[in-house]
Amino acid sequence: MYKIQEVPFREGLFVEDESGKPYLIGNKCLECGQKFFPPRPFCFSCSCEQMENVKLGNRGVIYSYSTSYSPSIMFDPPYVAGWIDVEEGLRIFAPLAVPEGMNLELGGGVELEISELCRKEDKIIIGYKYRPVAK
Amino acid sequence: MREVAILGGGTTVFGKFPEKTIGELGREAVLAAVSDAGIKVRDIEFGCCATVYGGFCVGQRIFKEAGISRIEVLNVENACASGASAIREAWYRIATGQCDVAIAAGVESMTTSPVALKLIPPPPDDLDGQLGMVVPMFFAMLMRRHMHEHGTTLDQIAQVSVKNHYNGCLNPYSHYQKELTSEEILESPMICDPITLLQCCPASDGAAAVILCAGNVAKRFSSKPVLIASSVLTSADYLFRWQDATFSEMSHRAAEMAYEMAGIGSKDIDCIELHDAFAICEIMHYEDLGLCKKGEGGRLIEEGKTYLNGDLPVNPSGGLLSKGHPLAATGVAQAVEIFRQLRGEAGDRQVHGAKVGLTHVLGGYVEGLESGAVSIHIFKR
Repeated sequence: MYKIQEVPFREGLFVEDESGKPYLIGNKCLECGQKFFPPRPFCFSCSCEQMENVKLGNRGVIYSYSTSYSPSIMFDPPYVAGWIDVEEGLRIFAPLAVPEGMNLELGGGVELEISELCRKEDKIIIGYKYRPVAK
Repeated sequence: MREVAILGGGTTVFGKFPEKTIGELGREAVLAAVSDAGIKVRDIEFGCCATVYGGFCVGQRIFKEAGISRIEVLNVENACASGASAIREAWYRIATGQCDVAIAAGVESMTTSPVALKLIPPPPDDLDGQLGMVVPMFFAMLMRRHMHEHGTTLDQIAQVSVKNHYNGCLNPYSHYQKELTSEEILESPMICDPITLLQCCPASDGAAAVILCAGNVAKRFSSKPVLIASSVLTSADYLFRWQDATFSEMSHRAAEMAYEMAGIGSKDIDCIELHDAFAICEIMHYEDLGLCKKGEGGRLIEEGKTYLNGDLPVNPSGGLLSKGHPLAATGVAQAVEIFRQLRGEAGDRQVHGAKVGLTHVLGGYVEGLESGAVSIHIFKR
């Protein structure tokens, strides 16, 4: 049977743990502790080359967001995206999956999910996005 | 460092000119600047030209149309700060004694550029761009946060566009010559919520040029040279260190450097041309340039301080919002406006008694950084 192929929009950026909980893959400087997403080849804060991968960004709060009424390469308008302040102390830009009728608030809690971003030809492009959590 | 002066400047009218080539636009600005400066093209020893979408060797292409050849020509690109970067380079050459007379120019034909009316694809290494970060989205997020943290209102933000379109009506070189009301601005089509169309600058065609000269030889050409009191160009910090996105760290840092170099403070400035690519940007830059306290930019415009008849007129030319934004020409055109203001030659939009003026421009969206480049120049007579 014909099966549509699911492909990540970019390799090595997100993962699910054993229980299926999604995380972003960042890295952390072993010298100064600065964390990065996406992972950087060395520490952009202190230049240390000793880095280790860390899972991060499962939960956060909305720092700001916007709805675009023009297309981007991945999305037809309107689409919503925002800066999320994740629990590990980084601000990450990501699409927002907003349930119909829900008003977004700055400071509101969000959870990471890994799901379809768009479809291109015979492929489903998979990526990360944040979904508001009920209070 | 030697003292450097501006001897003259010129721009084309900004607007949509699909029938004009880069060479034609550039020639018009270069010849206007040369004539304004009272020099001959053979006096020019160095030329620096800025373009973003104009292609290669654009400096040589526009200078040869104006009768300039056989000199060192350098082409520079720093996105919207390209023009200011060209001025900075010409200033540096003269300040360090490499030459006495130089030209800095910027030219852009947005309507004939390869990206005209197209979605500009982000570079493959721009993760945020892949996920929908477009330039208005970036500033829309800053705007929403500024409103949230500082109580800045939509009406205050719309007033920036009202003011700059009013000023643009007084500038014969302006892309738009039409007054707008707050209602028209806020009710125009939504681009990136809460930014509406009339809070955005247009993509324009145009060119601008200035002639720079060593201070000690300026008197030979002009009795009214305008001195460059400071020239600053710097890049942004990483986003992981940029906690307060309602405040442009790079602009603030550049402003502090510029004030120190000129030996003055923000209170000594009489008029400013700053980077109002979106109306919210002007309010943010009031704060990072030190014109008011953090968070009080909305109140500054509401009190009328930055209107043409206020204490500190900002964007008397109409700014990017009304005068238009031919990317690499913008930084040079800002300098031309301040030059005219300080010489008392700005016509109906003259800031009376202006002695000290400042230009500020940001350039580029770079993933992982606040922006690409920021440049600030302070001019005095």
